[in-house]
Amino acid sequence: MTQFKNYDIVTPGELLAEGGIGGEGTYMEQEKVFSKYFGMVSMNGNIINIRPLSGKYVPEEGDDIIGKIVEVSDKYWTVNIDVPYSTRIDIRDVGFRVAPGDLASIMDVDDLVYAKIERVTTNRTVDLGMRTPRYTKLPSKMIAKIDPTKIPRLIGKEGSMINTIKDATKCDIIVGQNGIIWVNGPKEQVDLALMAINLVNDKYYDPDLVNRVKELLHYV
Amino acid sequence: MNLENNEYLREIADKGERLDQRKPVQRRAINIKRKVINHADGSAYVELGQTKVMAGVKVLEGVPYPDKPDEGSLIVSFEPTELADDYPKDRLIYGVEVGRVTDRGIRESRVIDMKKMVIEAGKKSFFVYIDIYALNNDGNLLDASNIAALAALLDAKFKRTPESEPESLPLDLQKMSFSSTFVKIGKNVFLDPMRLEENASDAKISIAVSTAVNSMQKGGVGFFTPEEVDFCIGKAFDLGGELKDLLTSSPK
Repeated sequence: MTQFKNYDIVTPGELLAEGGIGGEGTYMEQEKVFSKYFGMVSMNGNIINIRPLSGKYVPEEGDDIIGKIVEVSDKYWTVNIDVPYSTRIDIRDVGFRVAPGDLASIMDVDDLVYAKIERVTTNRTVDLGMRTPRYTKLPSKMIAKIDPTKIPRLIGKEGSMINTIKDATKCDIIVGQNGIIWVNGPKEQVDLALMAINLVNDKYYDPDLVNRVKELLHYV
Repeated sequence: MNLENNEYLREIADKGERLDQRKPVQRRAINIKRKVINHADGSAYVELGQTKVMAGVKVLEGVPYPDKPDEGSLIVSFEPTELADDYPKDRLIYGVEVGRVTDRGIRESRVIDMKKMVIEAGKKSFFVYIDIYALNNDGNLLDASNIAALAALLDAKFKRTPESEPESLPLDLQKMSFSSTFVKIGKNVFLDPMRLEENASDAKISIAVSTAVNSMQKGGVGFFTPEEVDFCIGKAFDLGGELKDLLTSSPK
């Protein structure tokens, strides 16, 4: 058993448990579990997972992300999703009808898109898809960015944190797993939402974060 | 992925609103620290919001220029550090401009009495070097550099001969010229732009005033109407007084 609980901060090489099972972000040595990262503990039953506290986004299949179109080609769009790998939306992976060579009429350079990661190949090229109506081009509104490792904190347990912010500010908020957040609403409400998002980014280690956000937004 | 948010900024700018809830003619908080470099003759560190600038003054002997044999000289240089911006391209754009505009504001206001900086006419005079370093760029380096340069000049002490006591520069405080920078986004004019606002702007105008307008610099592809320029000059005079109070009351 371990004496650590959720939201505890651990350093690389710190002894987490003697015996037991290590999950993500841990390594075993002589039947002892150690932390791999400077990160935060999240217990899943008896399994200890360590989530790193900073770092770049690593694309994973099935993630929903927000990106910006940087190039339009004959059969695909090139998208910047803040990863160091080549990222495309092929016209075979979209749900709407589009003629090859006429891609710019649907999504042009500098447009924002909400898409899903369909495939990550072994050489790390990323294919995005927009097969269902859920994934669309986004109007150019406010976009903000937080550390991608803090996205689970922003969403909260079963979406509790993000739903609190949405309810309190009446803003449309879309969160991409790559750390990009799209916010739409009246100016004052957008400012409030951004304040809340920045609070999560700064005070991610606080176990009572939901109540601090509610306090900030005067939301009961 | 850059978060320029240009379209959103222009959308709220049409209603006269800004990203950080400031009013159109409102500066960010200014924090001045004087005497920060002990091996410079005078120095200052200025924070204008997240824009951070450091200036140092050194007074050295040199040969006066042939057209002004009985005067000292002023040389202002500006250097953006590697960490000031995300991309080298950005640093190249303003790297030359900021130094020249700051130089012009101080030179044309004649705040330093250069006639008193001569040692031997035609042969030897004092050169005042002002070196400005941008440590972080969050927009409006022009105003931050201007305040940092003036604050550094105020404290500068130099020796006329190696044996003499250190003395202040021959400054005329009435003639200190303060710069105010405005940008035009859509139809509205805003003071003290942040970097995102600078990127989204159509045109930029920087005005340095003391008792008169000493220098002006316009940038960007857009234009200002004559009424807008008059408005900016009027505001620059009001704001110059505020900055002067702030600078003279800042702790040494």
